[in-house]
Amino acid sequence: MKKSILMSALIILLLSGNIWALEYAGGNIHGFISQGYLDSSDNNFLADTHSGTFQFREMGINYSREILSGLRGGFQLFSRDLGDIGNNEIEIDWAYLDYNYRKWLGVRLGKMKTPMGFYNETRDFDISRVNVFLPQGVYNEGWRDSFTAKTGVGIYGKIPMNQLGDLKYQAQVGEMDIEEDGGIAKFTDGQTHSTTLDFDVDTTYAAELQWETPLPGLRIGVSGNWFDYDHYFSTNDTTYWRNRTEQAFWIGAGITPEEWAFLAGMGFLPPVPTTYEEYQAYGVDMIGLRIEMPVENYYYILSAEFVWGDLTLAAEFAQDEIEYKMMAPLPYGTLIERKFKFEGYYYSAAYRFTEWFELGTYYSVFYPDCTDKEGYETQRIYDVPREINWSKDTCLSARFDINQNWILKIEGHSIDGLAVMYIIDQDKNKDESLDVDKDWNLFAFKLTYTF
Amino acid sequence: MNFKVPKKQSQLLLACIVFIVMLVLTSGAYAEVVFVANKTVPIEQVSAREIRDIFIGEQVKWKNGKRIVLVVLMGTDIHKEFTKKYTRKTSSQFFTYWRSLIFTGKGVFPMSFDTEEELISFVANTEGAIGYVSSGTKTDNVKTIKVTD
Repeated sequence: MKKSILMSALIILLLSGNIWALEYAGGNIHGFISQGYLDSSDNNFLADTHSGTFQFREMGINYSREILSGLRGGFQLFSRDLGDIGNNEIEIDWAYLDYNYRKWLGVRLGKMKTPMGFYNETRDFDISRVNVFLPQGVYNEGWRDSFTAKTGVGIYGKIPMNQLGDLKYQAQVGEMDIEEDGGIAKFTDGQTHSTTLDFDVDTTYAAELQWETPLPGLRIGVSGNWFDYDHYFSTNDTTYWRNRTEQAFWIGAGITPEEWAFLAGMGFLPPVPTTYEEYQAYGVDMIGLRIEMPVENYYYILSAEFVWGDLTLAAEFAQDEIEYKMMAPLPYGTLIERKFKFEGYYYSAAYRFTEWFELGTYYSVFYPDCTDKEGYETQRIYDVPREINWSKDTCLSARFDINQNWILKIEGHSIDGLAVMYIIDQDKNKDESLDVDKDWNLFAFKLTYTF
Repeated sequence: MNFKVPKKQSQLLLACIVFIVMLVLTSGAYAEVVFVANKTVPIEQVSAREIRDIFIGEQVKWKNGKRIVLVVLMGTDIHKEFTKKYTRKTSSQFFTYWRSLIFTGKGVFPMSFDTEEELISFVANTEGAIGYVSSGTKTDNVKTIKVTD
Protein backbone atom coordinates (compact mmCIF):
# COMPACT_ATOMS: atom_id res chain seq x y z
CA MET A 1 0.00 0.00 0.00
CA LYS A 2 2.75 2.44 1.06
CA LYS A 3 4.69 1.41 -2.01
CA SER A 4 1.83 2.17 -4.39
CA ILE A 5 1.12 5.54 -2.76
CA LEU A 6 4.76 6.57 -3.17
CA MET A 7 4.86 5.30 -6.74
CA SER A 8 1.54 7.03 -7.64
CA ALA A 9 2.67 10.35 -6.15
CA LEU A 10 5.90 10.23 -8.12
CA ILE A 11 4.16 9.26 -11.38
CA ILE A 12 1.71 12.17 -11.02
CA LEU A 13 4.68 14.48 -10.57
CA LEU A 14 6.43 12.98 -13.58
CA LEU A 15 3.45 13.81 -15.73
CA SER A 16 2.98 17.28 -14.38
CA GLY A 17 5.71 18.93 -16.44
CA ASN A 18 8.73 20.96 -15.45
CA ILE A 19 8.50 21.63 -11.72
CA TRP A 20 10.86 22.32 -8.88
CA ALA A 21 9.59 21.53 -5.37
CA LEU A 22 6.14 21.47 -3.92
CA GLU A 23 5.13 23.46 -0.87
CA TYR A 24 3.11 22.06 1.98
CA ALA A 25 2.42 23.45 5.45
CA GLY A 26 5.32 25.88 5.36
CA GLY A 27 7.81 23.30 4.16
CA ASN A 28 9.05 21.87 0.89
CA ILE A 29 8.55 18.50 -0.72
CA HIS A 30 11.20 17.15 -3.07
CA GLY A 31 11.66 13.76 -4.64
CA PHE A 32 13.25 11.64 -7.31
CA ILE A 33 12.63 8.46 -9.21
CA SER A 34 15.11 6.63 -11.39
CA GLN A 35 15.08 3.59 -13.60
CA GLY A 36 18.27 1.96 -14.77
CA TYR A 37 19.43 -0.89 -16.92
CA LEU A 38 22.52 -3.02 -16.23
CA ASP A 39 24.26 -5.43 -18.56
CA SER A 40 27.54 -7.27 -18.02
CA SER A 41 29.66 -9.33 -20.36
CA ASP A 42 30.22 -12.29 -18.06
CA ASN A 43 29.66 -12.05 -14.31
CA ASN A 44 26.64 -10.85 -12.35
CA PHE A 45 27.08 -7.55 -10.58
CA LEU A 46 24.60 -7.51 -7.66
CA ALA A 47 21.77 -8.63 -9.96
CA ASP A 48 21.29 -10.87 -12.97
CA THR A 49 23.28 -8.44 -15.11
CA HIS A 50 24.75 -11.08 -17.40
CA SER A 51 21.30 -11.45 -18.95
CA GLY A 52 20.66 -7.69 -18.72
CA THR A 53 18.33 -6.40 -16.03
CA PHE A 54 15.98 -3.53 -15.27
CA GLN A 55 16.07 -4.46 -11.57
CA PHE A 56 17.82 -1.21 -10.86
CA ARG A 57 15.60 1.58 -9.59
CA GLU A 58 15.48 4.14 -6.83
CA MET A 59 12.76 6.41 -5.44
CA GLY A 60 12.80 9.00 -2.74
CA ILE A 61 10.54 11.71 -1.43
CA ASN A 62 11.26 14.14 1.37
CA TYR A 63 9.68 16.89 3.37
CA SER A 64 11.51 19.46 5.43
CA ARG A 65 10.76 22.77 7.00
CA GLU A 66 12.20 25.40 9.27
CA ILE A 67 10.44 25.07 12.61
CA LEU A 68 12.14 27.95 14.42
CA SER A 69 15.11 30.13 13.63
CA GLY A 70 18.01 27.67 13.32
CA LEU A 71 15.82 24.61 14.00
CA ARG A 72 14.88 22.46 11.05
CA GLY A 73 13.18 19.10 10.78
CA GLY A 74 12.41 16.67 8.01
CA PHE A 75 12.41 13.15 6.72
CA GLN A 76 12.97 11.21 3.51
CA LEU A 77 11.35 7.95 2.43
CA PHE A 78 13.50 5.90 0.12
CA SER A 79 13.28 2.63 -1.73
CA ARG A 80 15.57 0.87 -4.12
CA ASP A 81 15.84 -2.33 -6.05
CA LEU A 82 19.15 -3.78 -7.15
CA GLY A 83 18.84 -7.48 -7.80
CA ASP A 84 17.69 -8.97 -4.52
CA ILE A 85 18.90 -5.96 -2.49
CA GLY A 86 16.18 -3.53 -1.45
CA ASN A 87 13.31 -5.08 -3.40
CA ASN A 88 11.50 -1.72 -3.49
CA GLU A 89 10.87 -1.85 0.26
CA ILE A 90 10.27 1.64 1.60
CA GLU A 91 12.50 2.71 4.43
CA ILE A 92 13.25 5.91 6.28
CA ASP A 93 16.40 7.21 4.64
CA TRP A 94 16.82 10.06 7.09
CA ALA A 95 14.59 11.77 9.66
CA TYR A 96 16.07 14.23 12.08
CA LEU A 97 15.91 17.53 13.88
CA ASP A 98 18.78 19.88 13.17
CA TYR A 99 19.55 22.80 15.46
CA ASN A 100 22.18 25.20 14.16
CA TYR A 101 23.27 27.12 17.24
CA ARG A 102 26.11 28.95 15.54
CA LYS A 103 28.13 28.36 12.40
CA TRP A 104 30.67 26.48 14.54
CA LEU A 105 28.18 24.26 16.37
CA GLY A 106 25.05 22.43 15.32
CA VAL A 107 23.30 19.39 16.76
CA ARG A 108 21.35 16.69 14.94
CA LEU A 109 19.03 14.16 16.52
CA GLY A 110 17.45 11.23 14.70
CA LYS A 111 18.43 9.19 11.67
CA MET A 112 21.08 11.12 9.75
CA LYS A 113 23.51 10.54 6.91
CA THR A 114 26.89 9.15 7.91
CA PRO A 115 30.05 11.05 6.94
CA MET A 116 32.28 8.46 5.28
CA GLY A 117 34.43 10.01 2.60
CA PHE A 118 33.26 13.05 0.66
CA TYR A 119 30.37 11.41 -1.17
CA ASN A 120 28.71 8.89 1.15
CA GLU A 121 26.09 11.32 2.43
CA THR A 122 24.87 12.14 -1.08
CA ARG A 123 25.18 8.68 -2.62
CA ASP A 124 21.44 7.94 -2.59
CA PHE A 125 20.93 11.07 -4.64
CA ASP A 126 21.82 10.41 -8.24
CA ILE A 127 21.93 13.99 -9.48
CA SER A 128 24.84 14.90 -7.19
CA ARG A 129 27.43 13.20 -9.41
CA VAL A 130 28.34 12.32 -12.97
CA ASN A 131 28.66 8.56 -12.39
CA VAL A 132 25.97 5.93 -12.08
CA PHE A 133 28.08 4.01 -9.58
CA LEU A 134 30.49 5.70 -7.22
CA PRO A 135 33.98 4.11 -7.29
CA GLN A 136 33.49 0.70 -5.69
CA GLY A 137 36.96 0.70 -4.15
CA VAL A 138 35.71 3.16 -1.54
CA TYR A 139 31.90 3.16 -1.91
CA ASN A 140 30.92 -0.50 -2.08
CA GLU A 141 27.42 -0.64 -3.54
CA GLY A 142 26.44 -3.75 -1.61
CA TRP A 143 27.28 -2.22 1.77
CA ARG A 144 25.46 1.02 1.02
CA ASP A 145 22.30 0.09 2.97
CA SER A 146 24.27 -0.24 6.17
CA PHE A 147 26.77 2.58 5.80
CA THR A 148 24.51 5.32 4.55
CA ALA A 149 22.93 6.46 7.84
CA LYS A 150 23.01 6.27 11.62
CA THR A 151 20.26 6.76 14.17
CA GLY A 152 21.51 8.71 17.14
CA VAL A 153 22.98 12.11 17.86
CA GLY A 154 25.54 14.16 16.00
CA ILE A 155 27.35 17.48 16.19
CA TYR A 156 28.80 19.51 13.33
CA GLY A 157 30.26 22.89 12.58
CA LYS A 158 32.70 25.03 10.69
CA ILE A 159 35.64 26.75 12.35
CA PRO A 160 37.26 29.63 10.42
CA MET A 161 41.06 29.58 10.51
CA ASN A 162 41.66 32.96 8.88
CA GLN A 163 44.42 32.66 6.27
CA LEU A 164 44.49 28.88 6.63
CA GLY A 165 40.96 28.40 5.32
CA ASP A 166 38.14 26.67 7.22
CA LEU A 167 37.88 23.46 9.20
CA LYS A 168 34.57 21.57 9.09
CA TYR A 169 33.82 18.75 11.47
CA GLN A 170 31.14 16.15 12.17
CA ALA A 171 30.86 13.53 14.90
CA GLN A 172 28.07 11.01 15.40
CA VAL A 173 27.19 8.23 17.80
CA GLY A 174 24.30 5.86 17.23
CA GLU A 175 23.07 2.68 15.65
CA MET A 176 23.45 1.47 12.10
CA ASP A 177 21.16 -0.96 10.29
CA ILE A 178 22.55 -4.22 8.98
CA GLU A 179 19.83 -6.17 7.21
CA GLU A 180 19.63 -9.95 6.94
CA ASP A 181 19.11 -9.60 3.17
CA GLY A 182 21.61 -6.75 2.67
CA GLY A 183 25.07 -6.60 1.13
CA ILE A 184 27.09 -7.57 4.23
CA ALA A 185 24.95 -10.69 4.63
CA LYS A 186 25.32 -11.57 0.93
CA PHE A 187 29.09 -11.13 1.07
CA THR A 188 29.48 -13.37 4.14
CA ASP A 189 26.93 -15.95 2.97
CA GLY A 190 28.81 -16.33 -0.31
CA GLN A 191 32.22 -16.74 1.30
CA THR A 192 31.12 -18.98 4.19
CA HIS A 193 28.58 -21.06 2.22
CA SER A 194 25.95 -20.19 4.81
CA THR A 195 22.67 -18.37 5.34
CA THR A 196 22.47 -15.30 7.54
CA LEU A 197 20.05 -15.59 10.45
CA ASP A 198 20.49 -12.36 12.35
CA PHE A 199 22.70 -9.36 13.18
CA ASP A 200 23.21 -7.75 16.55
CA VAL A 201 24.82 -4.33 16.09
CA ASP A 202 26.52 -2.45 18.92
CA THR A 203 26.73 1.34 19.23
CA THR A 204 28.70 2.82 16.34
CA TYR A 205 30.76 5.98 16.03
CA ALA A 206 31.63 8.23 13.10
CA ALA A 207 33.72 11.38 12.73
CA GLU A 208 34.97 13.58 9.94
CA LEU A 209 37.34 16.50 9.56
CA GLN A 210 37.34 18.50 6.35
CA TRP A 211 39.87 21.22 5.63
CA GLU A 212 38.82 23.80 3.06
CA THR A 213 42.28 25.02 2.15
CA PRO A 214 43.21 28.60 1.24
CA LEU A 215 43.60 27.40 -2.36
CA PRO A 216 40.10 27.95 -3.78
CA GLY A 217 38.43 24.68 -4.72
CA LEU A 218 40.80 22.39 -2.80
CA ARG A 219 39.48 20.44 0.17
CA ILE A 220 41.10 17.61 2.08
CA GLY A 221 39.37 15.32 4.53
CA VAL A 222 39.67 12.38 6.84
CA SER A 223 36.75 10.35 8.17
CA GLY A 224 36.41 7.29 10.36
CA ASN A 225 33.73 4.83 11.31
CA TRP A 226 33.99 2.37 14.17
CA PHE A 227 31.42 -0.38 14.47
CA ASP A 228 31.05 -3.86 15.97
CA TYR A 229 28.39 -6.43 15.33
CA ASP A 230 27.59 -10.08 15.94
CA HIS A 231 26.66 -11.94 12.79
CA TYR A 232 24.71 -15.19 13.22
CA PHE A 233 24.47 -17.61 10.33
CA SER A 234 23.56 -21.18 9.63
CA THR A 235 25.96 -23.59 7.94
CA ASN A 236 23.46 -25.10 5.54
CA ASP A 237 25.60 -25.76 2.43
CA THR A 238 25.91 -29.47 3.13
CA THR A 239 28.65 -30.22 0.57
CA TYR A 240 30.95 -27.48 1.84
CA TRP A 241 30.34 -27.97 5.57
CA ARG A 242 30.52 -31.77 5.33
CA ASN A 243 34.10 -31.26 4.15
CA ARG A 244 34.72 -28.67 6.85
CA THR A 245 33.58 -31.14 9.52
CA GLU A 246 36.89 -32.97 9.15
CA GLN A 247 38.79 -29.69 9.60
CA ALA A 248 36.70 -28.81 12.67
CA PHE A 249 37.25 -32.26 14.17
CA TRP A 250 41.03 -31.97 14.01
CA ILE A 251 41.00 -28.39 15.39
CA GLY A 252 38.95 -29.72 18.30
CA ALA A 253 41.07 -32.84 18.78
CA GLY A 254 44.15 -30.74 19.37
CA ILE A 255 46.42 -33.36 17.76
CA THR A 256 47.25 -34.24 14.16
CA PRO A 257 45.94 -37.37 12.40
CA GLU A 258 49.49 -38.73 12.47
CA GLU A 259 49.71 -38.29 16.25
CA TRP A 260 46.29 -39.94 16.63
CA ALA A 261 47.46 -42.85 14.47
CA PHE A 262 50.58 -43.24 16.64
CA LEU A 263 48.52 -43.29 19.85
CA ALA A 264 46.02 -45.67 18.23
CA GLY A 265 48.91 -47.97 17.38
CA MET A 266 49.91 -47.94 21.08
CA GLY A 267 46.35 -48.89 22.00
CA PHE A 268 45.53 -45.60 23.73
CA LEU A 269 42.99 -44.42 21.13
CA PRO A 270 40.56 -46.10 18.75
CA PRO A 271 41.37 -46.10 14.99
CA VAL A 272 41.78 -42.76 13.24
CA PRO A 273 38.34 -41.40 12.13
CA THR A 274 38.26 -40.65 8.40
CA THR A 275 34.62 -40.25 7.40
CA TYR A 276 31.93 -37.67 8.09
CA GLU A 277 29.90 -40.28 9.97
CA GLU A 278 32.87 -41.12 12.21
CA TYR A 279 33.46 -37.44 13.04
CA GLN A 280 29.73 -37.17 13.74
CA ALA A 281 30.02 -40.09 16.16
CA TYR A 282 32.49 -37.98 18.17
CA GLY A 283 29.89 -35.19 18.34
CA VAL A 284 31.42 -33.05 15.61
CA ASP A 285 29.04 -32.08 12.83
CA MET A 286 29.34 -28.74 11.06
CA ILE A 287 26.15 -29.01 9.04
CA GLY A 288 23.21 -26.90 10.23
CA LEU A 289 25.08 -25.20 13.07
CA ARG A 290 24.30 -21.72 14.26
CA ILE A 291 27.61 -19.90 14.04
CA GLU A 292 28.27 -16.69 15.92
CA MET A 293 30.72 -14.32 14.28
CA PRO A 294 31.67 -11.21 16.29
CA VAL A 295 33.15 -8.62 13.89
CA GLU A 296 35.01 -5.43 14.79
CA ASN A 297 35.57 -2.73 12.14
CA TYR A 298 37.79 0.33 12.14
CA TYR A 299 37.13 2.11 8.86
CA TYR A 300 39.13 5.17 7.71
CA ILE A 301 38.95 7.24 4.53
CA LEU A 302 41.35 9.94 3.34
CA SER A 303 39.85 12.29 0.74
CA ALA A 304 40.97 15.10 -1.54
CA GLU A 305 38.97 17.09 -4.08
CA PHE A 306 39.94 19.96 -6.33
CA VAL A 307 37.33 21.93 -8.25
CA TRP A 308 38.59 24.37 -10.85
CA GLY A 309 35.75 25.89 -12.83
CA ASP A 310 33.98 23.03 -14.58
CA LEU A 311 36.74 20.53 -13.80
CA THR A 312 36.53 18.31 -10.72
CA LEU A 313 39.41 16.07 -9.66
CA ALA A 314 39.12 13.72 -6.71
CA ALA A 315 41.00 10.89 -5.01
CA GLU A 316 40.16 8.86 -1.94
CA PHE A 317 41.81 6.04 -0.02
CA ALA A 318 39.90 3.72 2.32
CA GLN A 319 41.06 1.10 4.73
CA ASP A 320 39.01 -1.10 7.06
CA GLU A 321 40.71 -3.09 9.79
CA ILE A 322 38.51 -6.07 10.49
CA GLU A 323 38.79 -8.60 13.29
CA TYR A 324 36.46 -11.55 13.44
CA LYS A 325 35.98 -14.95 15.01
CA MET A 326 33.75 -17.81 13.94
CA MET A 327 32.39 -19.48 17.03
CA ALA A 328 30.48 -22.73 16.84
CA PRO A 329 28.43 -24.39 19.59
CA LEU A 330 31.04 -27.12 19.88
CA PRO A 331 33.26 -27.94 22.87
CA TYR A 332 36.25 -26.01 21.48
CA GLY A 333 34.17 -23.07 20.27
CA THR A 334 36.34 -20.91 18.02
CA LEU A 335 36.82 -22.23 14.48
CA ILE A 336 38.61 -19.31 12.88
CA GLU A 337 40.04 -16.12 14.33
CA ARG A 338 41.36 -13.62 11.81
CA LYS A 339 42.49 -10.04 11.60
CA PHE A 340 42.87 -8.43 8.20
CA LYS A 341 42.43 -5.16 6.31
CA PHE A 342 40.54 -4.29 3.25
CA GLU A 343 41.83 -1.47 1.14
CA GLY A 344 40.42 0.58 -1.70
CA TYR A 345 41.26 3.77 -3.55
CA TYR A 346 40.42 5.66 -6.70
CA TYR A 347 41.31 8.68 -8.83
CA SER A 348 38.60 10.50 -10.73
CA ALA A 349 38.10 13.42 -13.09
CA ALA A 350 34.93 15.04 -14.37
CA TYR A 351 34.41 17.95 -16.73
CA ARG A 352 31.18 19.76 -17.52
CA PHE A 353 31.40 20.84 -21.15
CA THR A 354 28.02 22.57 -21.31
CA GLU A 355 25.02 23.13 -19.06
CA TRP A 356 23.63 19.83 -20.32
CA PHE A 357 26.67 17.59 -20.83
CA GLU A 358 29.30 16.27 -18.42
CA LEU A 359 31.91 13.56 -18.86
CA GLY A 360 33.62 11.70 -16.03
CA THR A 361 36.12 8.92 -15.56
CA TYR A 362 37.71 7.04 -12.69
CA TYR A 363 40.09 4.21 -11.93
CA SER A 364 39.12 2.33 -8.80
CA VAL A 365 40.94 -0.48 -7.00
CA PHE A 366 39.57 -2.70 -4.24
CA TYR A 367 41.23 -5.43 -2.18
CA PRO A 368 38.82 -7.10 0.31
CA ASP A 369 41.86 -8.54 2.12
CA CYS A 370 45.02 -6.59 1.46
CA THR A 371 47.13 -9.13 3.36
CA ASP A 372 46.22 -11.54 0.55
CA LYS A 373 46.07 -9.41 -2.61
CA GLU A 374 46.72 -12.42 -4.87
CA GLY A 375 43.89 -14.36 -3.20
CA TYR A 376 45.74 -17.64 -2.51
CA GLU A 377 44.89 -17.72 1.21
CA THR A 378 41.24 -16.87 0.64
CA GLN A 379 41.03 -19.56 -2.03
CA ARG A 380 42.48 -22.11 0.41
CA ILE A 381 40.20 -21.20 3.34
CA TYR A 382 36.91 -20.63 1.54
CA ASP A 383 37.30 -22.66 -1.66
CA VAL A 384 36.56 -19.66 -3.94
CA PRO A 385 38.40 -18.34 -7.03
CA ARG A 386 41.39 -16.23 -5.98
CA GLU A 387 40.24 -13.41 -8.31
CA ILE A 388 37.61 -12.67 -5.68
CA ASN A 389 40.36 -10.82 -3.79
CA TRP A 390 40.86 -7.90 -6.14
CA SER A 391 39.02 -5.57 -8.47
CA LYS A 392 40.50 -2.93 -10.79
CA ASP A 393 37.78 -0.91 -12.44
CA THR A 394 38.20 1.66 -15.24
CA CYS A 395 35.02 3.63 -15.73
CA LEU A 396 33.80 6.22 -18.23
CA SER A 397 30.52 8.07 -17.63
CA ALA A 398 28.46 10.56 -19.62
CA ARG A 399 25.72 12.63 -18.04
CA PHE A 400 23.06 14.56 -19.96
CA ASP A 401 20.96 17.14 -18.11
CA ILE A 402 17.92 17.17 -20.34
CA ASN A 403 16.36 19.91 -18.21
CA GLN A 404 16.40 20.76 -14.51
CA ASN A 405 14.21 17.73 -13.74
CA TRP A 406 15.50 15.00 -16.03
CA ILE A 407 18.99 13.53 -16.29
CA LEU A 408 20.30 10.61 -18.30
CA LYS A 409 23.53 8.75 -17.54
CA ILE A 410 25.40 6.22 -19.63
CA GLU A 411 28.39 4.41 -18.18
CA GLY A 412 30.86 1.69 -19.12
CA HIS A 413 33.22 -0.29 -16.86
CA SER A 414 36.15 -2.48 -17.77
CA ILE A 415 36.98 -4.59 -14.72
CA ASP A 416 39.82 -6.94 -13.82
CA GLY A 417 38.92 -9.13 -10.83
CA LEU A 418 35.77 -10.15 -9.00
CA ALA A 419 35.93 -8.35 -5.65
CA VAL A 420 33.06 -5.93 -6.27
CA MET A 421 30.51 -8.68 -6.89
CA TYR A 422 29.07 -11.43 -4.74
CA ILE A 423 29.77 -15.14 -5.09
CA ILE A 424 26.15 -15.83 -4.24
CA ASP A 425 24.96 -13.95 -7.39
CA GLN A 426 27.09 -15.95 -9.82
CA ASP A 427 25.99 -18.70 -12.16
CA LYS A 428 27.48 -22.18 -11.66
CA ASN A 429 28.96 -24.69 -14.05
CA LYS A 430 27.76 -28.29 -14.22
CA ASP A 431 30.48 -29.35 -11.77
CA GLU A 432 29.18 -26.74 -9.28
CA SER A 433 32.23 -24.48 -9.78
CA LEU A 434 31.55 -20.78 -10.27
CA ASP A 435 30.97 -19.64 -13.85
CA VAL A 436 32.95 -16.39 -13.59
CA ASP A 437 35.43 -14.54 -15.76
CA LYS A 438 38.38 -12.55 -14.37
CA ASP A 439 38.11 -9.79 -17.01
CA TRP A 440 34.64 -8.45 -17.61
CA ASN A 441 32.66 -5.36 -18.64
CA LEU A 442 29.64 -3.67 -17.14
CA PHE A 443 27.29 -1.26 -18.91
CA ALA A 444 24.91 0.98 -16.98
CA PHE A 445 22.12 3.26 -18.14
CA LYS A 446 20.05 5.40 -15.78
CA LEU A 447 17.26 7.91 -16.26
CA THR A 448 16.34 10.06 -13.27
CA TYR A 449 13.57 12.54 -12.61
CA THR A 450 14.13 14.94 -9.71
CA PHE A 451 11.92 17.68 -8.39
CA MET B 1 53.97 62.48 -38.76
CA ASN B 2 50.98 63.10 -40.92
CA PHE B 3 48.76 60.03 -40.79
CA LYS B 4 45.46 60.15 -42.68
CA VAL B 5 42.71 57.57 -42.46
CA PRO B 6 40.24 57.42 -45.37
CA LYS B 7 36.73 58.59 -44.43
CA LYS B 8 35.02 55.25 -44.99
CA GLN B 9 37.59 53.37 -42.94
CA SER B 10 37.48 55.96 -40.16
CA GLN B 11 33.69 55.53 -39.91
CA LEU B 12 34.12 51.78 -39.70
CA LEU B 13 36.83 52.17 -37.03
CA LEU B 14 34.59 54.51 -35.03
CA ALA B 15 31.71 52.07 -35.27
CA CYS B 16 33.98 49.28 -34.02
CA ILE B 17 35.19 51.37 -31.07
CA VAL B 18 31.62 52.32 -30.14
CA PHE B 19 30.59 48.66 -30.35
CA ILE B 20 33.50 47.53 -28.16
CA VAL B 21 32.85 50.29 -25.62
CA MET B 22 29.16 49.37 -25.53
CA LEU B 23 30.03 45.72 -25.15
CA VAL B 24 32.37 46.47 -22.25
CA LEU B 25 29.84 48.77 -20.61
CA THR B 26 27.01 46.31 -21.13
CA SER B 27 28.96 43.36 -19.82
CA GLY B 28 30.11 45.54 -16.94
CA ALA B 29 26.50 46.27 -16.08
CA TYR B 30 25.74 42.53 -15.81
CA ALA B 31 28.95 41.76 -13.98
CA GLU B 32 28.37 44.04 -10.99
CA VAL B 33 26.62 42.13 -8.21
CA VAL B 34 24.87 44.23 -5.55
CA PHE B 35 23.62 42.54 -2.37
CA VAL B 36 20.28 43.69 -1.08
CA ALA B 37 18.61 42.87 2.22
CA ASN B 38 15.43 43.54 4.10
CA LYS B 39 15.69 46.66 6.24
CA THR B 40 15.43 44.55 9.44
CA VAL B 41 18.69 42.77 8.64
CA PRO B 42 21.16 43.96 11.30
CA ILE B 43 24.23 44.43 9.13
CA GLU B 44 25.55 47.08 6.77
CA GLN B 45 28.54 45.18 5.45
CA VAL B 46 29.89 41.63 5.44
CA SER B 47 33.11 39.94 4.39
CA ALA B 48 33.28 37.90 1.19
CA ARG B 49 33.82 34.81 3.35
CA GLU B 50 30.64 35.53 5.34
CA ILE B 51 28.59 36.09 2.20
CA ARG B 52 29.81 32.72 0.93
CA ASP B 53 28.86 30.99 4.18
CA ILE B 54 25.44 32.62 4.05
CA PHE B 55 24.70 31.61 0.46
CA ILE B 56 25.93 28.04 0.83
CA GLY B 57 23.68 27.58 3.86
CA GLU B 58 26.36 27.29 6.53
CA GLN B 59 25.32 30.45 8.34
CA VAL B 60 21.58 30.30 8.86
CA LYS B 61 20.98 33.08 11.40
CA TRP B 62 21.75 36.79 11.60
CA LYS B 63 23.60 38.09 14.63
CA ASN B 64 20.27 39.02 16.24
CA GLY B 65 19.18 35.38 16.08
CA LYS B 66 16.63 35.91 13.28
CA ARG B 67 16.71 33.42 10.46
CA ILE B 68 18.35 34.23 7.15
CA VAL B 69 16.03 33.96 4.14
CA LEU B 70 18.02 33.44 0.96
CA VAL B 71 16.80 34.71 -2.38
CA VAL B 72 18.43 33.98 -5.74
CA LEU B 73 17.90 34.73 -9.43
CA MET B 74 18.41 31.28 -10.93
CA GLY B 75 19.03 31.13 -14.66
CA THR B 76 20.17 34.74 -15.07
CA ASP B 77 23.53 36.21 -16.05
CA ILE B 78 23.82 37.98 -12.72
CA HIS B 79 23.32 34.63 -10.98
CA LYS B 80 26.25 33.15 -12.93
CA GLU B 81 28.40 36.10 -11.95
CA PHE B 82 27.26 35.83 -8.33
CA THR B 83 28.00 32.09 -7.98
CA LYS B 84 31.39 32.42 -9.64
CA LYS B 85 32.54 35.43 -7.65
CA TYR B 86 31.00 34.77 -4.25
CA THR B 87 30.47 31.01 -3.86
CA ARG B 88 33.45 29.61 -5.81
CA LYS B 89 31.01 27.50 -7.83
CA THR B 90 29.59 27.53 -11.32
CA SER B 91 25.83 28.02 -11.49
CA SER B 92 25.28 24.31 -12.15
CA GLN B 93 27.56 23.39 -9.22
CA PHE B 94 25.60 25.80 -7.02
CA PHE B 95 22.33 24.15 -8.08
CA THR B 96 23.70 20.64 -7.49
CA TYR B 97 25.19 21.68 -4.15
CA TRP B 98 21.83 22.93 -2.89
CA ARG B 99 20.04 19.87 -4.19
CA SER B 100 22.53 17.74 -2.26
CA LEU B 101 21.67 19.65 0.91
CA ILE B 102 17.96 19.18 0.26
CA PHE B 103 18.25 15.44 -0.29
CA THR B 104 20.33 14.92 2.84
CA GLY B 105 18.05 17.06 5.00
CA LYS B 106 20.66 19.77 5.52
CA GLY B 107 18.92 22.68 3.89
CA VAL B 108 15.94 24.21 2.15
CA PHE B 109 16.51 25.60 -1.33
CA PRO B 110 16.66 29.43 -1.50
CA MET B 111 13.64 31.27 -2.88
CA SER B 112 14.22 31.84 -6.57
CA PHE B 113 12.81 34.54 -8.82
CA ASP B 114 13.02 35.18 -12.54
CA THR B 115 13.33 38.99 -12.39
CA GLU B 116 15.15 41.46 -10.22
CA GLU B 117 11.94 43.41 -9.58
CA GLU B 118 10.27 40.33 -8.10
CA LEU B 119 13.34 39.64 -5.98
CA ILE B 120 13.47 43.23 -4.66
CA SER B 121 9.79 43.13 -3.83
CA PHE B 122 10.16 39.84 -1.92
CA VAL B 123 13.25 41.03 -0.02
CA ALA B 124 11.53 44.30 0.88
CA ASN B 125 8.59 42.43 2.39
CA THR B 126 10.37 39.50 4.07
CA GLU B 127 12.10 39.81 7.41
CA GLY B 128 15.69 38.52 7.32
CA ALA B 129 15.80 38.22 3.52
CA ILE B 130 18.97 38.73 1.52
CA GLY B 131 19.53 38.48 -2.22
CA TYR B 132 21.42 40.13 -5.03
CA VAL B 133 20.70 42.15 -8.14
CA SER B 134 22.79 43.77 -10.82
CA SER B 135 23.95 47.33 -10.27
CA GLY B 136 21.55 49.87 -11.68
CA THR B 137 18.49 48.10 -10.31
CA LYS B 138 16.26 50.29 -8.14
CA THR B 139 16.86 49.41 -4.49
CA ASP B 140 14.69 52.02 -2.74
CA ASN B 141 12.77 49.70 -0.42
CA VAL B 142 15.70 47.53 0.63
CA LYS B 143 19.13 48.13 2.07
CA THR B 144 22.26 47.44 0.09
CA ILE B 145 24.97 45.44 1.80
CA LYS B 146 28.60 46.21 1.17
CA VAL B 147 30.91 43.23 0.74
CA THR B 148 34.49 43.66 1.94
CA ASP B 149 37.43 41.43 1.02
